[in-house]
Amino acid sequence: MYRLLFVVSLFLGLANITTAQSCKSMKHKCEGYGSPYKYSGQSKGGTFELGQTSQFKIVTFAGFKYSVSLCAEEQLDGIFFRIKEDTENGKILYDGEKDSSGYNWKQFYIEKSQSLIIEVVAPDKDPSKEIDDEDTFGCVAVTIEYYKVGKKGF
Amino acid sequence: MSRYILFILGLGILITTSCTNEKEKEKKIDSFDVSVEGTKTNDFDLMFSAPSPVEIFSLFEDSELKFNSNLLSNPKNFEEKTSLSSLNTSLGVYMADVAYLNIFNQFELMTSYLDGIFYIADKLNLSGIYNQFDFKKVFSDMNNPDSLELLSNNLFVTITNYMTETDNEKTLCIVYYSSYIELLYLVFNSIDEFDGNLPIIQHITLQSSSLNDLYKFSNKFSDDEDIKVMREDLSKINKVWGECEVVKSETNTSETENGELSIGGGNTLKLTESQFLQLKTTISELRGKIIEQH
Repeated sequence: MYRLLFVVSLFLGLANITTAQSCKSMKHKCEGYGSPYKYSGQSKGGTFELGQTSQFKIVTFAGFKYSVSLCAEEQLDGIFFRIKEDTENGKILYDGEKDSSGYNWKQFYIEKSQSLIIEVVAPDKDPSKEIDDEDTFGCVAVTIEYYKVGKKGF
Repeated sequence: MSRYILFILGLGILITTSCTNEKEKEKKIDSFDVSVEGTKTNDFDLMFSAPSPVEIFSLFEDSELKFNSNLLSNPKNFEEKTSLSSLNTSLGVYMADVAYLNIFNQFELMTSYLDGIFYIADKLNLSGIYNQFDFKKVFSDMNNPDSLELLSNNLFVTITNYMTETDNEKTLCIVYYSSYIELLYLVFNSIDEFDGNLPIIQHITLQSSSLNDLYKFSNKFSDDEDIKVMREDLSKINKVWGECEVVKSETNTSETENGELSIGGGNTLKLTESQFLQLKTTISELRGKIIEQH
């Protein structure tokens, strides 16, 4: 009987491992705007921690519209993103923290091709609450979508 | 007793499968109950992402880029590929060729490359990609340009995503590298005369950012022989990009008529004719090296 339980636990354990490593796979599970936008290979996903701020670069093309959607697991509630200039100063072009719409989603048009920075900010751990270590981590995905509107310079 | 075991295992499969299906129906991942047990590391920063060749080629649509089938790789000899290196590089090259054919609506030519890609995907044990995207469905609609663009884009994105999810990031580097080299080769060799004001030249300079990112990302695999060679070759291109003048301009924002955010300004790289020719020669040499191996 113990052997049977071991086999069953092992089987269910393996199934769980498959699920456990899937934060990376969330990259394509965060729903974006959809048509006419197309899914961009610049989308990103992975494991995030409370208090963490991460940045990544996207290349944007003139005459294209882009949509950025951020999805995160419940424990990272309050997470938001900014769009910044890709320079040392990193001028903020859009600040999700100040966006009153309440959605982690932004569309924008690009007049001149350039790379931009997407900065994802997770809220700090609330010191008044006791949280298990593993609950300070969660899956995050940022879906980037694009479509060509027209040719307007470069 | 064995029936009992089978019943329990069957029940386990049923529970696991039905839970996964339910999860897939959810629109947002914030309602996913994914255990991160055992993966408590901030791996968000460690993932490589970059535009697909289809996304990049869509920039060149309506530009001075002319179709030239002689520039493409030979898709007929894919069954001769046996080494892992040649399979990886061929996959990248073919995916860039498919993206190129897509913008010129060369659908008939595309079939041989798609056959090659699926053959190599099987050889590289990437069959899991078929669970993520219904390629056969799109194949059945070969006369629809939108459908083909979707196929070409999703093919690249699905394969590279799958490599990331299955921790095949070393292979991912090689696939991106060979894909980008093929793409740049096709573009550079479509330009007969240099004119720094042509949009196509401006578009080319943008690709330096992704190549730089690939170089940085591949550093963690620099002990691997194939990656070492790739990094040496990449640094030859990045060196030329690094010498280009940066024309500074502050990025600014405005609102469109619809009240949407519009982003203008921003720094640009200025490519001189000599740098253009240097890049064209280097990229052609590197592409030749890939094709030899390929």
